[in-house]
Amino acid sequence: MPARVRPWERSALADDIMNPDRDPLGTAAAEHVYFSREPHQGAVAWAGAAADATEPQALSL
Amino acid sequence: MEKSVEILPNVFLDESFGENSPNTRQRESLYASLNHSFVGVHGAIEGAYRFYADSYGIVAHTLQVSWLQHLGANVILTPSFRYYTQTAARFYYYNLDETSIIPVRIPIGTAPYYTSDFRLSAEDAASYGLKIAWKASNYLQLDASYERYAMQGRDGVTPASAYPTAGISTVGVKFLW
Repeated sequence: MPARVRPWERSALADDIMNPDRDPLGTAAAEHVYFSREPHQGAVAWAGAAADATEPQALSL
Repeated sequence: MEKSVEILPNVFLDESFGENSPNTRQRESLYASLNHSFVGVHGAIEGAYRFYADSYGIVAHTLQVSWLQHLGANVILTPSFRYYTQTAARFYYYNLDETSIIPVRIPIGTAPYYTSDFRLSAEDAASYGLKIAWKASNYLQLDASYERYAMQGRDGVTPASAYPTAGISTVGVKFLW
């Protein structure tokens, strides 16, 4: 299959704004904020996100 | 978890019980993200979608859209919008008054299950934010962001006060060597 990326387009692809993983720590921090309120978890493309989030357990005896 | 209990004939008392959730929970999620560059304006759009489902009966969708804009050679400005929506767990009740469930004092992890944890109710959350990242030198990158987050319930029973709104501030420093 021929490459669909033209030679003059490669610099655009190399740009940081085309990298979903440009700020993994920031993504992990944001996921942690969301996860404390929303039960969804996992499947974020970049490393670390939500992996260390502990599930909040409600217990009121 | 609250239930009105008849302690004497025709005498009712609101009592609190612990939540009783299943001992195991199976989670499934799928994530897809797409970036598209707009070279002429030195920007890019990023869209991300996540599907989530679990054995509690929750199905959730998350959609996030960001615009990444270069300002000069060293600054990237990123406005973004995020929307999250989920259905309730099948054993979510605001209270047990209208149910035949007899709650137990100590959660036992077997049916019947019940919870009044708002995080397991039908809810939506919308947020929008702005992030600025500055490449100060070849060795140092700084970023700051602010996001406004608001969640609301959809079941018409759980009070609005159960759902949080938040202002989320983040500051990042990255050293490269």
